[in-house]
Amino acid sequence: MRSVRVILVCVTILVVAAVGLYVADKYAGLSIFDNLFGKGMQYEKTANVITEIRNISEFTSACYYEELVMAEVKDSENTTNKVVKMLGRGAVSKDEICLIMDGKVRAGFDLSKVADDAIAISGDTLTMTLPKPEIFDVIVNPSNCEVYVEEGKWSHEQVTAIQASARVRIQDDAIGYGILEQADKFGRERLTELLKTFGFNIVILN
Amino acid sequence: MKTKFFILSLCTVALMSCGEDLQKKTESKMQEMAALSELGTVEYTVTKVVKGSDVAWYTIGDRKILFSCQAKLKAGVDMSEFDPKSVVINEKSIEITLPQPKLLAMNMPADEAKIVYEKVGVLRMDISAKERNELLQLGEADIREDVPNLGILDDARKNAEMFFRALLKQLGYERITIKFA
Repeated sequence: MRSVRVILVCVTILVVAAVGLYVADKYAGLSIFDNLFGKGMQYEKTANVITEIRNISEFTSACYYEELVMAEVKDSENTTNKVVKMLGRGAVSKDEICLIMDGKVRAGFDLSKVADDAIAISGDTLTMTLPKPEIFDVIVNPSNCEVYVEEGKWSHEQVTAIQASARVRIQDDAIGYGILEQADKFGRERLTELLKTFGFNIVILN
Repeated sequence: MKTKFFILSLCTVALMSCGEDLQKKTESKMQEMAALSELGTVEYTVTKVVKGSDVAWYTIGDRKILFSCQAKLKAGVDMSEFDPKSVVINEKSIEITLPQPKLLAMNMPADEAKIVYEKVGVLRMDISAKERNELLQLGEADIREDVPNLGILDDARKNAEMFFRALLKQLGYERITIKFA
């Protein structure tokens, strides 16, 4: 009889411990099972499929680099907060994420927009009318993004929304920093040098 | 009592200063501009399914995720490597030697990667933003490694040749030879 009681107590302790671990694991974000036994996400190689090929004539003359740190805080989506909110109180715990992103903006002249009559030659003078410089790419690749701080639960959509706003901000910053003016200046210098090597002494770019 | 008060004040100051650091970090950024001289001649759009799993015989439940993502690759010639001395002009004939085409830009916006499947066992932790980003990083590296097999560099070479041939013809040259270094 005594041994049965001991077994029952042991089983009860084990069940309580297991439930406690489960609750801690799922709701307190301790991730005990995964921290102790998980081997982490493994990448599996898949095919790269070409879906579109486009011929371009983009002369990139300026590149803007920016390191941007974006942090966001939100109310935790846990049961405690839900209950507290139902009672009309503010959230008791917060989730935080901090991303460090290295962005790149490339700009220059789209030479496919140079009209046939935009080039005029007179002796050793070449006159060419260039289109306005434009931004070709705003690049923030996954390899340029570091999740520096991650506390609580952040869905893919929530994180990508931060990354999307970072891309917009980097583009705006690049414009504010004068990328289009620099692309125009550098581009004209480089194209003048290049066209001079093709046998023209005077190159006029309008 | 005084000691306790002192320690408490110290902790409060330390915590407040940590908060200030974080606030400062969110505002800090580095900006830089560089001149380039790159002629992009072809753009490939590549789609990829990025696959990640965390499965072991001893775990209760799996963690699996599939992303669908898209990358735009631009290839062409870097004209900063162009040697003006390689240009040979003889009246109406011209010969130029262009640098070898290369990948100039790869754009794989993480914010355009979509999760198409996600499965996390009851006893497993959710897939974190860090893990998702690491998987996408590996997908990006995979595409980058595959560049020589995609045919993009051949297309970049053909298009660069076509571009310079058309330009030099417009500049009045009749016999045009284009070589690659």
